[in-house]
Amino acid sequence: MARFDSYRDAFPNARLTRKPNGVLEVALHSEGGKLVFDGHTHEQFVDLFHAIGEDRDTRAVILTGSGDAFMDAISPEGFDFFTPQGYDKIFREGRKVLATSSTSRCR
Amino acid sequence: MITALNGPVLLHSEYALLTDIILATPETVFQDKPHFEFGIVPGDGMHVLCRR
Repeated sequence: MARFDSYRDAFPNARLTRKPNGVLEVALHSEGGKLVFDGHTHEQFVDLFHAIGEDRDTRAVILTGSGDAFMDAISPEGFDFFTPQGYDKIFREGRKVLATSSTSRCR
Repeated sequence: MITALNGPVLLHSEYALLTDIILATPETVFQDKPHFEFGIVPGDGMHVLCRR
């Protein structure tokens, strides 16, 4: 449990609750309500999925949203789409999420 | 890993679709909406995922 404590509250847009049977619920949210996706969540979710995947005490994960949509709102806040450095960051984060998603399935 | 959808997925559907089990109602909507609106290329991997 020490390991879970180290990242449980580290994500402002993901509420993590784990039961003693090892089932982790991940609820994506913004201020407790429906998630508004932005550049900050794009970066944050890379670390979120990595931390979840590396925790061997978690046996199953349930991913869900908050409010009336899983994900239907996006804000350009925190995104730098149109400079080479900005787009490179977005691309690297996106690729890491795809890689983490496929490897955490392999457990 | 299980996705339990509580509503529409209009962006970044790969978060929901790359899990082992996806729970959804028949009314659930998936879309890749923002890229065209923002004037950028869809690059989340949806072009690969949608074909599977």
